[in-house]
Amino acid sequence: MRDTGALGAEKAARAGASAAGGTALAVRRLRLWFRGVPLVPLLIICLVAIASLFAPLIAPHDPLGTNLAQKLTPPAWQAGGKAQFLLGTDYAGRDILSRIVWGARISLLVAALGLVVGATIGVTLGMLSGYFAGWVDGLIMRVTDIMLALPFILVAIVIVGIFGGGIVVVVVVVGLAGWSQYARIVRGEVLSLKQRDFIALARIAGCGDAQILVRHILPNITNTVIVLATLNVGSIILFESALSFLGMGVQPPTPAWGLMLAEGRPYISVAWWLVTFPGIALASTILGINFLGDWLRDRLDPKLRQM
Amino acid sequence: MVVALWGITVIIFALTRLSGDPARLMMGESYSEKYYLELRQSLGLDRPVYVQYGLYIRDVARGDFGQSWRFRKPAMPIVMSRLPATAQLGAAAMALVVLVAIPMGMLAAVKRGSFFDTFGKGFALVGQSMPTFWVGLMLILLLSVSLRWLPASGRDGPANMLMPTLTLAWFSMAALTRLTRSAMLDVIDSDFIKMARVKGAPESVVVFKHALKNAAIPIVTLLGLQLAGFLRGAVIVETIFAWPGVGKLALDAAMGRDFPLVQAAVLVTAVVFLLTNFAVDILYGYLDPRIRYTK
Repeated sequence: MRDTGALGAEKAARAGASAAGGTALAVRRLRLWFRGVPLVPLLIICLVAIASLFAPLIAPHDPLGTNLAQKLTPPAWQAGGKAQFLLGTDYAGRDILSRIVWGARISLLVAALGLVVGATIGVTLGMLSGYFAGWVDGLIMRVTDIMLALPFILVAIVIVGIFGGGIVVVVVVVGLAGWSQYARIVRGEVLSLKQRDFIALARIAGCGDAQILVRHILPNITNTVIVLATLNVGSIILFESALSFLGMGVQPPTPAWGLMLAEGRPYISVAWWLVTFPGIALASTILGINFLGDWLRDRLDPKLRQM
Repeated sequence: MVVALWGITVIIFALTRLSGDPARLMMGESYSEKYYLELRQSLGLDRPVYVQYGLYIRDVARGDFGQSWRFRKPAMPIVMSRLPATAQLGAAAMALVVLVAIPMGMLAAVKRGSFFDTFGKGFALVGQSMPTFWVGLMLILLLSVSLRWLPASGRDGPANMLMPTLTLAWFSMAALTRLTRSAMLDVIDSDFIKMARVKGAPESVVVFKHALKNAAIPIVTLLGLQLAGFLRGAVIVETIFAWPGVGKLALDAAMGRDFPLVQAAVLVTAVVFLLTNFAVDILYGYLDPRIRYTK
């Protein structure tokens, strides 16, 4: 493997740590693993994760609670702002800060589930394609060609038009949008892996195709898949927010960042805060994820640099 | 390429037939059963699915996607009439990307560690993290609402083009700056650049003739991909700025389930994408004579 030396050392260290029961060594090992991690992006992602996990505790107001008497209140520091609505309220008097906090939950939920859908389809097809070659390979690679040529946002819009909006449909759509790049890269990895001696040995030892794929090939592409997935999260969140912005994703009154921006758009000339704060949340989350993804790629699989 | 096109027709056809009965959708709430059956027949919906697909392919090969249900006119000419607006926007955005991103990326790579490098890297990372539609909204907020410099929507004059172009180009500018920088850095470290320097070639010749030409392959690849990305971005940008192009047309059609129009729009954009890829492939051979497609 690429990282055999380091991995071996880590394994040895792990064994040593558990034998000695020393936490100091464990801490040092953790430090070593996380060396060079960009701190600000890590902080942003931790914030977003905490917001999404503990949304009911953090949000000062009900994200769905309308209050027309308070509608379009500016942020607290502006003239006419109220201290209880730190980032102001929208056209229905809902608290922007609370909706942003709850929106983190939607974004991360869609991203996580969409990632699982896309990665599962992509990795499975990529492994089959690389391992079996022949017509299976030809078929799967042609399908990825089609996926690349398809203006997928239009297909997504048609799918949402047919099945209606909502989180489940959005998860499936973002998953379908992302699988082809996993398939391509995993296929390449498997093509070279299957020439290796340990695969031949496994076959001599009597392993079937399924066993070789799952027990011997899958563990060796895990790093690649993790890196691809991290680099993919940002674009999934972008895609979901774009769909929601177009009214083809998460449906109102659910607090999602893209949807909040769409709802604020008609009020852009009177209420700047409606289109500003959800966008800042969105952009900084994606920025954080992109930074961390870059770091993780250099850490686990530097040969994906060209991506 | 033919296979990809065929696959796209299958997907589009399957999607549109999955969506329920178009005849009912066309008629709305009130209709007589007799008129409904006539409409079904005239649309060919009473025939088996494979016959419907065969008819569909025959028509598509002729460039006939049927009547737009909303406009009651053939779908293909409608799409074609909107294509110039999108092409105009796409060309302007592409020009902006090339003129800004390549010099910025080169400068960042050549003056490594300088202010330009920091700025280029920062722009690349921040730019790629900002959603297209939010960039558009922020531009409207700044340039239309606060400063009142530019109109926020429509396609009446050159001033209308500035914000949509910048919005559409934004993400690609960031992506290309980053790629140009890293591609140039890869090349600059190579032996032939050192050799050129040792020979005493002037810096401009080293940078433009030796380095840029050898960094061109990934740059051109990304440009091709970004051009395809413009088709996607066009849907969002044209919606925000009420720009009368194919993207907005397709979105409205998809929302109104005007399937002939959606099909025509999707297929036209797919053809544009495939042609772009083809052009990029040809360009490879020109940029790097070692690449040959025939023996």
